[in-house]
Amino acid sequence: MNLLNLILATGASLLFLAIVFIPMEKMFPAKKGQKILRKNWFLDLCFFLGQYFLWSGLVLWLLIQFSGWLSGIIPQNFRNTIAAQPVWLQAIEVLFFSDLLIYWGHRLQHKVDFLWRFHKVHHTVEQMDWLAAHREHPLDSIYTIGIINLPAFIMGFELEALTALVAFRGIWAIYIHSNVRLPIGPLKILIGSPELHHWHHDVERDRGNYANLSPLMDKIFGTYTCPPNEPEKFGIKEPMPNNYVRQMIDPMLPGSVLKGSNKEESTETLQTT
Amino acid sequence: MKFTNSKKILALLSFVTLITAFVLYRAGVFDKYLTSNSYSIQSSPNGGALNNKTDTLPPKKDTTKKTPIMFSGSKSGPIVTSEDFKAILTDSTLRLDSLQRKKIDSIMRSQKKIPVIMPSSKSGPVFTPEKTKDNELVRLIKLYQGDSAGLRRALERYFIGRN
Repeated sequence: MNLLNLILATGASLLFLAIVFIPMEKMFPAKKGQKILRKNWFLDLCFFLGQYFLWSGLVLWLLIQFSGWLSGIIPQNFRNTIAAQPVWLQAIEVLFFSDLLIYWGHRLQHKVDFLWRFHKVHHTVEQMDWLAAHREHPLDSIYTIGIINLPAFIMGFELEALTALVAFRGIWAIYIHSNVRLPIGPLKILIGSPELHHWHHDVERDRGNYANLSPLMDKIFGTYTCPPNEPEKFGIKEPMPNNYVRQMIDPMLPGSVLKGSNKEESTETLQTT
Repeated sequence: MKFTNSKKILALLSFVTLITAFVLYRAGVFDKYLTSNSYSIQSSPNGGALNNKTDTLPPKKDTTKKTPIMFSGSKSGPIVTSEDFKAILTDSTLRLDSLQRKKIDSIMRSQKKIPVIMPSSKSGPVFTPEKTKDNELVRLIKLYQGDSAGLRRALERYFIGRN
């Protein structure tokens, strides 16, 4: 019975996202001429299915355990002080610290080779679209979701008060990966857009735009970049198999630690192949 | 291929409408519309609606959500989750006594506080499964708190009405 629910939920999600994003990608394409069933579309479908059928439940479970463990070690006085504040102030604090943490957490993913091993799976996408947003290693998910929720866990803040924002944030994260170019004018300083995030997926590993929902953190810390055109090439310079199982396993193999920790060597390997 | 402006406007309108509808749905704005019918059809002991009690209670938000709300990552995450469909499918499972007990147990367990969590910054679940008819069971359990005989009768009516 649960499996049937899961299949229905996954199918409904896929259909809903296709209806939301495909017309936009057709009408406002960032890369004109990119097909819906583009290269590695099936690979991203595998990631999508993997996320719904396997990983999101596991990640959720782990984070609930982590949250429970954290609740046990955070002093109750601290939480009482937080809870005494108005809800709107708590919400602002949670959002600010979430954005701050995810910004630096994301920057570290690009800087530290151990973290990059898992994060680079997401960056192997060579043609951006809404489905490509789902290409993510589960260990990368645990890291990212753990960090973004850490302030709420520590403060004991219940995100039910922000359900709408949480939902918006979730679907907007998919939108910024879509093959859409729709300038939003001065608003792009306040809210992330595909034109910014596509540059984050540039083939250069340290291209910038690490912030999540709002690019303000990039502005503050000097990593904001928004050239007027689209990047020429997405992806990574390191070799990576275009195979779901290999992309899951390779980052965990000892050999890939060596590969991931030596960018120059990997680039040379790619050039010679 | 060139598209006319009207088609572009249509695509944009559709995009904004769907995103808005999705956010409102997740915020629970449509809950009363999605669950009201199921109460009046499913909860009756004799084929009629058990609305004499339901209707007199003020509308309330379900505080026993089983799926915590989290921020998703920066990539993606589930949009619809399996519990969204549980409501449709639980009707048939409630026919068996053992499953009835299992169901009630799970409802009771769900009364425990579960942390609310944000999705990933990449992507995340689109639809979640917490919009269920379990609300009715929770309501009954709360209504007859301390009155085990009353609760038993109410649960019998609830399950018999589903058969």
